Amino acid sequence: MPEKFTLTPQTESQISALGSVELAVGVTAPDRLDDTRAVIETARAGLRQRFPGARAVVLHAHAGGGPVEAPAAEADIPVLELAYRTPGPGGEPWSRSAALRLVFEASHRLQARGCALLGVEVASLTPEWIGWLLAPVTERDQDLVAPYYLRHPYNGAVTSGILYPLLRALYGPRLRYPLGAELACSSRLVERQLLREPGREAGGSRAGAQAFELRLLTDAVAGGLRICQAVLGPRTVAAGDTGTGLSTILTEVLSLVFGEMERSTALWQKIRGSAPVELVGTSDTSGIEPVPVDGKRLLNAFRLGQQNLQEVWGLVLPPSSLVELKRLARLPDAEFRLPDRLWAHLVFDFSLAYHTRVMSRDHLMGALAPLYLGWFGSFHAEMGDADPVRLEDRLEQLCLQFEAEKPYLISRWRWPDRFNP
Amino acid sequence: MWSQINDALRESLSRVLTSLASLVPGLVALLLSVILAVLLGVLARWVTVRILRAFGFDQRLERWGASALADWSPGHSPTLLVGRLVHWMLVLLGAMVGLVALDATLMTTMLDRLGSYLPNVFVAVILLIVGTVLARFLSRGVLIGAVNLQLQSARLMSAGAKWLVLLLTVAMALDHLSIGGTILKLAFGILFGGIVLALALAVGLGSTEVVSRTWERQADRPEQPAEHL
Repeated sequence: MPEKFTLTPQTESQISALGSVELAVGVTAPDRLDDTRAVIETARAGLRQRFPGARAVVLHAHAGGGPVEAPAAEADIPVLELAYRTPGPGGEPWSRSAALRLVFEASHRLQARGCALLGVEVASLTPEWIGWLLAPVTERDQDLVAPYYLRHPYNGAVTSGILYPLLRALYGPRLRYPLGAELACSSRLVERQLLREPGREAGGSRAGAQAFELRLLTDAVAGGLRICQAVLGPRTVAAGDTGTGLSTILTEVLSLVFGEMERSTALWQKIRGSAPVELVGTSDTSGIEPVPVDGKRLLNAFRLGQQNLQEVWGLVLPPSSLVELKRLARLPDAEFRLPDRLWAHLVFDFSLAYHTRVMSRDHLMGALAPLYLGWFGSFHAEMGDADPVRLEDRLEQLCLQFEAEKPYLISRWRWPDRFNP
Repeated sequence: MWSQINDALRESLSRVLTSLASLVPGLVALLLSVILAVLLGVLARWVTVRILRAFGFDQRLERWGASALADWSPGHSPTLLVGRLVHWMLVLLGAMVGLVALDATLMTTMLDRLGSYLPNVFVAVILLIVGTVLARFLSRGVLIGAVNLQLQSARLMSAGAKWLVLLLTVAMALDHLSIGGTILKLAFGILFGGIVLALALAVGLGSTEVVSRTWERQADRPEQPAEHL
């Protein structure tokens, strides 16, 4: 681990004083003290409620600002402050990926059997979530507990339409929310992660944390570790965390997914098909609120892209895909259907273009945005106000198509220069 | 008197014929040198193109991000461009050898002038290459950004950004070559100012769409907007 992200001597001495614990909950936040205080209190309440009597600790990684509260060794669940060691003038910039590594480092030193990670931007966090996340580790010997939120599939359409089918086709486990911020890991996975080279994601955005979460997934798959999903209920984000533009989201999230594809080529090229992942808890979709979607606006955005970005798409996509997109753009809204096979090819072709550096990666992700809106518009035009169960069934078909088209990706990845009509 | 005129004419004719006769070997050498250079150039071009094609030069350049070069190449192939460069360099070399055979002092003078001018040409070429790549990068960025902002005038804005950078580059290159002088600067100032004004109008008019849409969105914002992630 690089020097700059190691624990401070003060933290080391606190860890020595604590000795060992059974459970740890990590919270990472650079400067949102009010939100962080609430999350830490929820974590402590959750630990008391679900694991009474267990030795537990809350690990708060921050950028070195004022602590949320003084570490109290005598408290039933102490809060351990993990501040960056900041060499040089100005110190190291805040990085959530590095902060999560700090949490893992402390959890490993404390010999915690399970470590849960919480995102501070979640408004719907309840004490029960801590139990739901950590219980599969302690009671069912699971190594990675991914979140399963009760969300409408139209909410988080990048996850529904790209991340879920793509990561499932690549790595195998059918994780509905593969980059969820709330998760739990066993000591085995924590140890494996600490042996890995740290990522280089800087900045305090969610992307740094998502990079970390993606590495957890690939590590768990590569190590043949046990993965499950815990039903957490609805996930709502605090006000002020929803305003990121689509291009930025695609650039941040897909850059790290495509980047991980480059790093784990040998792993995903060997995997065929997918495997169901155990769902712990009850998935009751009856309370999910419908989400309004302006389908016309989505399709118009696609058509505008089709009119103007032909030249850019031509550098990424084969001629047959371009012809199909042209034909699609002429269809009326009600008949607009982007075939699953074409959508899978589009996503695969963009991942390949990222790999072969056809153009600036920011431009590449910007060029994908109208296509994604086209897919979302098509999905909405086809499914309309269908209930979440039917929408999930339709997403299952999409995922199977991604898996069926994986040989296309492998072939193009291996021989990118081969003629592709 | 007639005999004196006759003598003068004979002498001048003899001088002209003598100087012409002294030029003939040089001219023949120049002609032979150019023909030989052309033939060698054709051969060298053929060999170069074959080697570069075997190496997959065009595809590699595209992968390395130098696809802008293809637009300036004959048949959109940088391989052909390099082949032609090799060909014309050999023809130029042949012509220089021929010129030295014709008149050694002429060549020295030309080379002196060329030598002092070459750094300017080099800088101008570098400027043109950098400007072209930058113009393409910016125009693509503006196009994609404008499409994602759903501006109908995306293409116009992209073309404006591209030509602005290209014009600036050409003006800088010509300035380095000392071509045009003040007329060029004046013309460029007028043209550049005109384009900036036109762009300001275009962006201003285009932005009304953005502003009005933003206000509309604020007014009609649903209680639970769909999140993308």
